[in-house]
Amino acid sequence: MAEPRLEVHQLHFRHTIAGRIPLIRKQAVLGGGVFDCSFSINRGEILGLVGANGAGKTTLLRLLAGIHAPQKGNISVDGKDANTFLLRTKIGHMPEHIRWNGSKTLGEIMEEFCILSNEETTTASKLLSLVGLSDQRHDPVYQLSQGMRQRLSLGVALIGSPEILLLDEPFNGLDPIASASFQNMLKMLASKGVTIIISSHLVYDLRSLVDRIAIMHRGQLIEEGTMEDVSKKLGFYGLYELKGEDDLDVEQFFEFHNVVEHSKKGNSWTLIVRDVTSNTIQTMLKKNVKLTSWTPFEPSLVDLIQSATGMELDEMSLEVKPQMMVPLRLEVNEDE
Amino acid sequence: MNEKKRVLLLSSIIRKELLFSNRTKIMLPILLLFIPGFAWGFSDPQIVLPGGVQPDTAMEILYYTSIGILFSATVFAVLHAHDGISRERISGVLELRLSQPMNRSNQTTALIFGYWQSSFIPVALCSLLAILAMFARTGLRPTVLEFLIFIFAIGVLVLWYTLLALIASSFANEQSTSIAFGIGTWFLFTFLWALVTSMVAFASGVAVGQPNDPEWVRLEGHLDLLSPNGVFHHLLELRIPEIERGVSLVMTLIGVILWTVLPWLVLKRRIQHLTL
Repeated sequence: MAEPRLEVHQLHFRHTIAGRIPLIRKQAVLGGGVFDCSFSINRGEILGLVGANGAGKTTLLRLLAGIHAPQKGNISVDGKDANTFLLRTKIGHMPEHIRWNGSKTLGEIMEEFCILSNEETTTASKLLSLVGLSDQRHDPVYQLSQGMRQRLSLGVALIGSPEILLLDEPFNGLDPIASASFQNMLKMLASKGVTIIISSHLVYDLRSLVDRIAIMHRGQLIEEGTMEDVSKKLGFYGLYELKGEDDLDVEQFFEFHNVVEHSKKGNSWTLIVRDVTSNTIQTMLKKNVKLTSWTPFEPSLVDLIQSATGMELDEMSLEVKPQMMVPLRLEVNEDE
Repeated sequence: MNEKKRVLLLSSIIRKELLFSNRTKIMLPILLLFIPGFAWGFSDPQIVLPGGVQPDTAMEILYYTSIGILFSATVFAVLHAHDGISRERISGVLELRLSQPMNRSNQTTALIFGYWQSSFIPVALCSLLAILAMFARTGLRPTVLEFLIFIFAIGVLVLWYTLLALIASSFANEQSTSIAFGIGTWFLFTFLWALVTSMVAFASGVAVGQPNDPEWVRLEGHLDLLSPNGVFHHLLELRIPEIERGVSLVMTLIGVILWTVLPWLVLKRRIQHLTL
């Protein structure tokens, strides 16, 4: 059995919105954060961290990157307890959407971060080649496209040959070609033994890339495992999405309890059902049902979170308030 | 590579970027006008200042030139450093920087050195031009000690404003707050300090603005220790025996140390506890 490269045990961190001020504010005002978070990840594994805005993904990554110190719990790397300094030595971090600007060239930026990482500045050009930016080495950073900026951020994260790589929303702003080449690069790194954690709210994009996913909601890890395990746990495994045209008598082909969703738009219909066999499909075709596609159902992030939390979309709403990031369990005792 | 060398390399990267930035290009004519320009003006053999004062030594001319330094060099330092931290916080680069395995204390030192050098180098060059202008017009030149005191005073003055601007920048989440704090601090010590001094004098029962009243001179001298501009002037006054404001060399040096160490420690602590 593979030894875990990174282990996180009951990690707890809560942001301070406003600090305590003697004579003015007796208690600090606390916001969201990460609560009781435990998981482990092996060498060469890719973990997808998914969750809605404000779920605590970025805070968790900042804790793992050694930017914030945990208030409770611990993080260990290769079985050894890691303080923030050790984490910063072992882990490469690519924050979300860095807006590189200014007149520095790519080479100068890489060299600056090599100095910060105590690496030889000669590695700068090698890493720029690795992320496909060697031709832009002497270009000022403000001239870069969004995709190139993301590559530069990855190049910086790779300085010091980190054993663990944290990527916060790495696919934001990338076109499909850049996204695919980025994914290939990550697979290549994982094959060389680099452990990767990718945070994203786009579950579909992660499907072909990650070995496991972890779902975060209100600062807690609510599900974690392989895509198949999580789908099974949340009741999505074995679901099929059927699409067709004209009318369909659903009860003629499926038991009522197997139908998860049936929707119609104009002349087209979509059916999400459980236990679809090839016989069912053949029967439908024989009975002249205009079936245009049948594919395994791919749950979206919303589906996964709704299923894991039992909450409706309206309950979750668009608004991200600090208390929405606090788990229900803590909210009850908030005033204590 | 040892830590000291890394700090120096990082500060040189900041210095290089800022020395050739648009900010420097915009401020350079102002520095030239206010520093060598003032020195040229105060070197006029016919000049008579209010109160019938006629500067007749090199240090006196440089002392009056220091008014131009206070108006230009301080605002130059503030303009350079006001977004030293907030700009990177907004762009996300700060998060990347803080995740690197270099301790934050050394990162702070590199930041301070980098911003200080980028402001001090042009100001020091303009000050050298000021000395040349004075020499060309009057034939006067400062002694080595006077020159060292003059350059040291300018160096620490620029450092103090750099530190204050960086502290402001560490609190700001957007540029306008750090600009407001930086320029506000500059305005307080450059323009409003006379008002603060007058109010304290009034509250203490001392006649305000009487240059011949020893009590007023003493009070003003002591209150100036609470302002970076005041300590700067006290340093320059060390070589002007005509000016005696009741502040000893030791008190001036304590002022220099406190104005250097306290903001430095505050900034170091801010960066160590910086949240994103």
